[in-house]
Amino acid sequence: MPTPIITQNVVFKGQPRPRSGVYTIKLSSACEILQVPMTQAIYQVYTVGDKWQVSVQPTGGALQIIYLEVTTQAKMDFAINSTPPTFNMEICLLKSLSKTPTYTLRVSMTDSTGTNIKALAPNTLLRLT
Amino acid sequence: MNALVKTTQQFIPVVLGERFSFKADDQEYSNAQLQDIQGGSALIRTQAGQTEAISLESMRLLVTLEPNDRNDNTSTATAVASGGELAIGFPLAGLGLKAYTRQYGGIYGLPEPAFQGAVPELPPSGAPSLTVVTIAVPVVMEIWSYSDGSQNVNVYPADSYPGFRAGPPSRYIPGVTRGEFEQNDKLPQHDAIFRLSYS
Repeated sequence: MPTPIITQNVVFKGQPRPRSGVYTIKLSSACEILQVPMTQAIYQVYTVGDKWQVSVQPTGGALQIIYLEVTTQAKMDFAINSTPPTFNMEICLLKSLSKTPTYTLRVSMTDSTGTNIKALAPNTLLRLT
Repeated sequence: MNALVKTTQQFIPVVLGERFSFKADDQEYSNAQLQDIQGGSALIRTQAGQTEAISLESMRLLVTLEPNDRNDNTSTATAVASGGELAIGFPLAGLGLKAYTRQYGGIYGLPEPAFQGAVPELPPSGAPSLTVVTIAVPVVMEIWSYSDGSQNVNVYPADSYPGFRAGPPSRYIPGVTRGEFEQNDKLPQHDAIFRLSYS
């Protein structure tokens, strides 16, 4: 299986990311837009039916999947042609999480079986406020 | 007996395929395997078989040295300390290093250091190909060389270092930046090992 491609760090739209340390997300009443930087390499390994998955894991706790998307060629085309190339995900479950712990956010793109990872973003330490 | 002392940040080479334990993003990873490096992130396969990408800057080694059951003053490095990030432990296997702790009152009556290790083996040939992990800083290391060729490394948290009371060190080793370390990664393995273990 090819080595998964690591993307650049993900960003929540409108929420500046620190150079290092905990990424604090100020929750709004709306869903948050998670932006995954796209590259030609990711675009080229993508095939129809691949899935994006976003999960959070509180420190010392169990992992929880908060977003799944079986994406389409049209959405991947749109992502690679946007400026800068970005795949956007509308994450609505963040609001349901406790604000007490910090979370490790994981984002990956797998094949249709969900087992073979094609791309993934570096883990991000999140704090919700 | 000869002794050196220094305070510095450590940079540890980890080779592709090697297993090591670390903390990152508030998570502890025990016996993870390094699979790739891409753009400042490490591709890791966890002990449970999960694949994750982790920013190199967020990784901190988490290995402590604990005595084993044998009463021969030796131990193996154990994965993942329960507390604190300070450790000299790192993937000792394959690096020509052995570590141990000794149950005694400390050198010349000094308090027992937080971590100890010994380096009785010559390093293997061949230079490490990747530098991916940093040890949390700052630390103070005492490096003792004995007439039988072995060395003992005492590692203290910098803020609790008791001082070098057994006599002045023969020399100080300057700390290195990550860039300097990576440049010196091209040095022969012996030098690289010296840096990864003490510098």
